[in-house]
Amino acid sequence: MNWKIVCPTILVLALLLPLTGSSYAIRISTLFIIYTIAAMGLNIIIGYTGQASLTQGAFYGLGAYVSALLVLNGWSFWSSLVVAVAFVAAVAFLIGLMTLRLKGAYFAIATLLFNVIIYEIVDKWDEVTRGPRGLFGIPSPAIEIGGVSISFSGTQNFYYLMLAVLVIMTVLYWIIIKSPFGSIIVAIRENELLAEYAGVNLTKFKVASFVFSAIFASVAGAFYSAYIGSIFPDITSFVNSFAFLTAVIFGGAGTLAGPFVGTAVVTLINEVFFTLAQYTVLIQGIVFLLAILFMPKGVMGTYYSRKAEKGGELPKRAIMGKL
Amino acid sequence: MLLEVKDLHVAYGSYEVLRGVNLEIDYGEIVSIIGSNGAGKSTLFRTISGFIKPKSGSIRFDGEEIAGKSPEEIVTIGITHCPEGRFLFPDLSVYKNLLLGYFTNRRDKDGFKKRLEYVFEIFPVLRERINQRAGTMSGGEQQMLAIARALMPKPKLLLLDEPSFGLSPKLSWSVFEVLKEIKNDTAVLVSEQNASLSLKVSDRAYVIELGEIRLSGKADEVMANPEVKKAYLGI
Ligand SMILES: Nc1ncnc2c1ncn2[C@@H]1O[C@H](COP(=O)(O)OP(=O)(O)OP(=O)(O)O)[C@@H](O)[C@H]1O
Ligand SMILES: [Mg+2]
Repeated sequence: MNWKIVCPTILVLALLLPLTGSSYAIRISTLFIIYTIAAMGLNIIIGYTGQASLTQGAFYGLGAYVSALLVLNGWSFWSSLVVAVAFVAAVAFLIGLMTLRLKGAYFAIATLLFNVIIYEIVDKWDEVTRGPRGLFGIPSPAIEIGGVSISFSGTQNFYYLMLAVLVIMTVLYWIIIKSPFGSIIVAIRENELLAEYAGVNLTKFKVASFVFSAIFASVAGAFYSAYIGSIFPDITSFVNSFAFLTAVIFGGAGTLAGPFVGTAVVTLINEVFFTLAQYTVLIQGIVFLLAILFMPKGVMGTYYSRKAEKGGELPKRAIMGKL
Repeated sequence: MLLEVKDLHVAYGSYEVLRGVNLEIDYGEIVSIIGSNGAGKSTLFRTISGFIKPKSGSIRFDGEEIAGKSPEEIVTIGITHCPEGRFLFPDLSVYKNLLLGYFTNRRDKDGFKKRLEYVFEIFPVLRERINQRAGTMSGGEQQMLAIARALMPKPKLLLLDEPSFGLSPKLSWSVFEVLKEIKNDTAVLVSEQNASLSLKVSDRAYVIELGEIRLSGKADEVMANPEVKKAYLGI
């Protein structure tokens, strides 16, 4: 696959999508973009750093809640976004410090526990979050350029806004992975002890990539709340963590394109089985199981392995993810 | 003195593994530490490189007390550790392995190129293998890469744990010969069970048994000792 052709082609097609006039397609694509951003973040900590975080959904939901609460208090969406991201990053920093000394499954379980704790706080802290009643009437973002105000309330406008956000976040994601930082976290994934022998401060780098993953989740969550206009405590539950995890594993942990491919599949599943909404978790669970049983490297990981077997070149830095 | 270890006690839980070890290494020296399985060689190395906190005793490096510092600090002040068992990043290329070895000096980009040239001169085979995945190289090549990785940050002292493990005598010898080339820049403390090769390149040697230094001296004196001959040289 030649990414120099594939990426621009997809981008052009994405720009032209609204010409189809299908608001359904636009809506799904917008959601796809939002979920992809959260999955990209998760791929940084799981796929590249090799730490199985099960709390991405909580960061996503927390980003949605903090920004929605601020917007409902009269803040502009953009300053709410910044505060929400900073808040979630700080929470991730503290959770990371506490949990990232744990290895393997213990880390996974600890993060799952924090997901449950965050959900319970959002669900029970009625005075602040309105508890199970949720938040309604969250206004859409708007910007002002030279005195002209553009609102992103329409489906199409919001879609273009998300496309721009996706491009920015993808560039950020790409820089993180391709930078020396990216090489160091891959080294930690490959051989944590040797990384330490080489002088890498494990805690520092693991916590940093955990914070990065949370930043992506909170950006996605904040835009989700602005798009849908109402949120409920469910958004912070581990069900979302699990959906992002399925996307990352299915798409190929530790590959750049994995989160895109995996999220596309998860989004499609959610739509195809829309009438069976109460079984979404079950269906995702089946996909997840099938993926780890028959394609543990995910779609993109398997693609690169095949290519490598045929003597093709491995992607320069992104080596297949080992979980 | 480059490194001075004084009365070092190290324990895993209540089980004392090092019981008052004294040891010195001067600049430009190759020093062997010889001992059988479980004598405490790797424990001594891990303690010097900051992975284990000693119970008591002192470790001075370049005049500075370093006992209890973190592995990151130890690498930064100039001690690298090439652990036993050919530790590599098997899925990463040779180049990437060397780059990560250079981690603590990463801000100095020109320095990296110089060090790369330096290790390629010592191990020319690595230059040919630069893009190969480390895990697919032969055992000997992997050991060379493991040592090269540890040499990347230009350490003043290299701790080399059982480099001949699993290598043919001929390959082991080529590894030991390299130590003579590097010793003026980087002093070496090398551990071995079977010491006939390492003693040939060493200036001095220590024999460690059950966590205590039993014997020390010039390498040829140690080699001539009848008990050493029997226990560690297979003669
Ligand atoms: N993490 C650990 N926890 C408990 N005991 C340990 C630990 N590591 C080593 N030991 C014990 O400490 C003693 C010394 O081990 P060490 O690895 O230092 O020996 P060694 O001289 O390097 O042996 P070898 O030549 O087999 O590598 C052994 O009895 C070993 O069982
Ligand atoms: Mg040992």
